[in-house]
Amino acid sequence: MKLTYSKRIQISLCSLILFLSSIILLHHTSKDKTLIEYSYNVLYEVLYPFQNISNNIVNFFNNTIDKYIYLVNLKEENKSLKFKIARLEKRNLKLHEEKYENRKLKRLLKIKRKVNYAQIGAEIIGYNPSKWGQSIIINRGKIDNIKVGDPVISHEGVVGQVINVSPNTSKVLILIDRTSAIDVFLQQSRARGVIIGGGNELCQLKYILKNNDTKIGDKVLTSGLDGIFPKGLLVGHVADLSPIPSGLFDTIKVMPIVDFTKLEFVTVLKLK
Amino acid sequence: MNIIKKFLLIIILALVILFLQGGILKPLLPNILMPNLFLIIVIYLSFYETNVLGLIFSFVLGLLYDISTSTLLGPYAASFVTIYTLFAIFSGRIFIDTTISLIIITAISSIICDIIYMILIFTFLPDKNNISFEILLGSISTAIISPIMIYILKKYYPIKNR
Repeated sequence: MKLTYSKRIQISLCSLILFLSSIILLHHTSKDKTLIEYSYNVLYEVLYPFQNISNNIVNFFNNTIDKYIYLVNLKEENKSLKFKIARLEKRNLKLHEEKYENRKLKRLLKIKRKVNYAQIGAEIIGYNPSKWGQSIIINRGKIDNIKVGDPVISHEGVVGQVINVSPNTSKVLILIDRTSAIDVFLQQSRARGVIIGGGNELCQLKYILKNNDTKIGDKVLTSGLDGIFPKGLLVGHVADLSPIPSGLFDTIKVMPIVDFTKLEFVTVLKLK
Repeated sequence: MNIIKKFLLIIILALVILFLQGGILKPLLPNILMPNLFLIIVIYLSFYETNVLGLIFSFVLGLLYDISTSTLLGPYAASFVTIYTLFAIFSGRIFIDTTISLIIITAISSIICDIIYMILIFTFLPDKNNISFEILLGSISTAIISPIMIYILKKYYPIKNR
């Protein structure tokens, strides 16, 4: 259908108005999150029941498949797990001893105890539909006292932080998102930096000064200085070092400890 | 079909797509191959609903996509409005009635849409090569799905012939 000249002008003008409105919205929401919070509340309260149902269906199929596939290697796995348990029990005993020793020494030095966090378990019920954003939807919201900025972890380590909350759901920005940044330090060298999402499975560790004796495999932990994550949570390990001859800082690639493709349950931390 | 019916249909379709993309496709497909099903509706509207209503629908779809994907409102709304306008103005001169032409048009529009989105969202990207690769692969997956989507849209959102 060929458009008439007047219709073409009409569409172009309206398009210009809507494009400018989008830019104004973009500018406004970059400073004030109230509007996007409200919109998220409405949209995800509508989608919540469907997401819950679909999640249960997907989980049912995954569990059924898993049960049958993993049954094949069960004997071998059982043997190796028994061996692992024995080794871990030994290690656990040693760590317990060190813990008591550490507690005594801390008392001696009068170091203030770490701030306590309450833990709220949550299940992942949805994902960011776009390929650019890396966020997940969890089945805990305002009703469970979840707030924007709450840190989210899994049994492996850091997952991300809450960015939107509706009564029954919350959106969590995971650490591999390009807009995510967490203050961290390297366990071995104690050098501080900021871990920034790369959009794919690797993150970038920035602002680590050169000549820090960083090695591949070094653990990256939260520093607690961003005021969001408690200190000492495992974020990942150094996966690649690309030395740049000029400049003050090293470019370090970090592999997150959490496998986001297999993540099902998370824990939201709340300050007690 | 009257305006209210059309609007409701678009909203329901958008919610179904959000649920499909975020709940089913995302855990199954690699992130790099994630198609943009919203964009296919916008392309359909730009060829078959060439009036202000189609433009407003595209804007609303963009806003819905922004709410569910981004931390900001507007980048997808602006991208979808641009894509709609571009194709609506030239709709009389572009042939999309064969599967191949539809796939090519969708791939091109997906690349344009992602570029506009990127310009609006980021000022500096850490890894530009990787981004261009993602844009390309994403556009291919969207393009491949487009003939099926357009077929569904033609069935449930019937508009007079072009």
